[in-house]
Amino acid sequence: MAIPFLWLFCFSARAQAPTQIPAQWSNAVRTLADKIAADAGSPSALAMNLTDASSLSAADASAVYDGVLAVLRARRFSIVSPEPPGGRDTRVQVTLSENAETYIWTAEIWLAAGPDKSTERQVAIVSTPRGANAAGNESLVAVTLNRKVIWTQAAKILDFAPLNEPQTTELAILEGERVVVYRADGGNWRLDRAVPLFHSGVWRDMTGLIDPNTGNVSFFGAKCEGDVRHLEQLRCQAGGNATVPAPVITTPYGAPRADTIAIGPACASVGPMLLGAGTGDWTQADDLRAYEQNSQVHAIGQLDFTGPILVLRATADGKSARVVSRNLQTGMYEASIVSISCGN
Amino acid sequence: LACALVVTLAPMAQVAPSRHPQYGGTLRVEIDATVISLDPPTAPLSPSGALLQAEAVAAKREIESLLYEKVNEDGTVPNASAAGAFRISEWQPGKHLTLVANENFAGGRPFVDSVEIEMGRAARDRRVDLALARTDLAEIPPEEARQASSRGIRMTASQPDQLIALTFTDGTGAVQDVRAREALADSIDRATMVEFILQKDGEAAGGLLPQWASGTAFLFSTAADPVHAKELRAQIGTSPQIRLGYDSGDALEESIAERIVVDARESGISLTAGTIPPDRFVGPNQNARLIRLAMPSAHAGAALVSLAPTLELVAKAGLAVPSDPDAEQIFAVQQAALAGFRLVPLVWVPRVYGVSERVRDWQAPATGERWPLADVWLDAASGVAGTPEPGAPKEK
Repeated sequence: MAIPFLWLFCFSARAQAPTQIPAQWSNAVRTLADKIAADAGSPSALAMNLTDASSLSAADASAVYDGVLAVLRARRFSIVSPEPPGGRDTRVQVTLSENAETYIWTAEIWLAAGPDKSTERQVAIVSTPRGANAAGNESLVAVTLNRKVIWTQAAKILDFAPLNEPQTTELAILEGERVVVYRADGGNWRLDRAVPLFHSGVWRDMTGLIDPNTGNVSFFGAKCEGDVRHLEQLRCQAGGNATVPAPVITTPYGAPRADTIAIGPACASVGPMLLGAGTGDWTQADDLRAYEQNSQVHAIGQLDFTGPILVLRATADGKSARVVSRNLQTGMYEASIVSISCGN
Repeated sequence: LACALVVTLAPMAQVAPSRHPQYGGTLRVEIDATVISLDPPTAPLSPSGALLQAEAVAAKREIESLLYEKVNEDGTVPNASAAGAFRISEWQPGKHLTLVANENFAGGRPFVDSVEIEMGRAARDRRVDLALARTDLAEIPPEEARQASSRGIRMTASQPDQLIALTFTDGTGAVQDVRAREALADSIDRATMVEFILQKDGEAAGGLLPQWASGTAFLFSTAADPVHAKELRAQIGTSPQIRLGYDSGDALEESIAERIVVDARESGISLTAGTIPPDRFVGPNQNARLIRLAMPSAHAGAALVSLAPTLELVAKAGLAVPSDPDAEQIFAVQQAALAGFRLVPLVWVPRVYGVSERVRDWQAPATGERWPLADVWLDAASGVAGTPEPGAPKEK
């Protein structure tokens, strides 16, 4: 199932105000506070403590905890943190945890009791879906590679192309058995149209290409006429002999990277560049490195991916890269635009 | 904008292996289990039968997933299920299986031409064959993973998704008193098991689901509490006589059982350990045994639902597992299953695989998934063997 992502969702754009709770977490924060209040009984002093055992940033963890405290204060609980020596308040240990799919936020509650504090523990648990991972942008002094994930889905992506640039009102996705066009709609992508592709068989190393300039589709095992801008007229027939233009450029140093593409000048003082993917197999995390075409010995920029880079091609203007990768943490295929900026 | 600085990163490699798949070749696989029949089961296995035959059942499921496009959770094959990525070429029950690629597989022809599976290979034999490049893929006991890795064997591992636990098989006599069971549970030093027996390739287990799957495993204590164990032992009066059984062919269980003997003794509990006769759930006079529970799904709720019959068998807690439990219910079910100390989680261990240098695109299957052999391909340019073990037989 496809998950629409905001166009220009940028990996580096995660910073938030420290006390701001993302909207999708508000319910979980309120529910956890409600459960603590219910277990604690009548309003009293709570000796609260936080442990963050999740991948949340410190700012997000703090925002969640502050949100819980705010709800409890609104319910007339007073918060004591840390608990003073010899204190007999109800103790609450909040732990922010997670599993593969969700954030798990727990509160262990020990009600105020006698001096030995030997009361039975009560546990409140809430869960809320995890958002997109934020890692992925690494800046270097020479050039910075910026990655913008524009689409992610479970089905394998053979290629993709933003259409009608620079506004980019449509996005074409080439899959193994169909071409799909999505239309921008208020920050989300909505399915607009799709056509099946007929071909002679399914191959595990199937390849395909959308020409970002003409919109023409090339597809292994099928002959296609028409383009993705006029999808209703696109016709593909099985048994064709179309071949996908090889995107690989072998450098003079003898294929230093598995796939390499040429990128036009992005900076005044750096000439044309090469972008190269790594050499691991498709079970390994990958990186994209930038090299000056005239001096290919050392990379001048690098961007790490959480999985293999499967497709690496230039955009229509030749100044950025279209990258299809697979996120090994989620298993999803991701379509990204990688651009180059200069300076730090 | 100035972009003149050139930062030195990793130098370019002069030789880069291909990352694009190649077709052809024979993938050689060695497994410990012996699969006697590939016929669909005539009746579902009982929970105790599933525990006893877990290894063979798991191996059969792996093979079935290669032969059929779809296999039901109980091992039966839907009538309409299409052929899988491979078909049988040669079959010697319990010994050897040769599979060849299905050219017409709906999901695309596998990269390798054939797969040869040798069954009943002991752990040491598998490790030696990997080191000598006589096999391409074999499971390695997690406690031997570091040693194998140091000998140059490529390793991949799953998440820790196999629980080794102690269960009391007899509710009478010495272990009828819940204080005796709790005392033993409190005496066990799981951290030492992970540190020294598993060489850190595992996790201490307090609950019935691992932290990565549930997110709440930390709510179950894994710390030993010998002081409380001794208090309970003193309350009981006479020392309970616990006789612990373990699988005779399982070196890891044997090591864990020996550790439990030491821990129990330090808390004043009399415990002896011995092997369980083959095909028996428990040996004569034994009133406890070690078991392995494999997580059937990466989703905590689904895993708990699937494990419910087995948990009921060993925990005898009258569990009520909702069909789609939320995080709080998942925690509550585990709490209920463990409350009587009839089931004592010990450690989580991963499934560890050794692969030869020429194997590409192999990934240890995620919890609940099968071997991705149709996706694996062999790099003709590779084939370097690791360092042979001392005393390993020379290649002919």
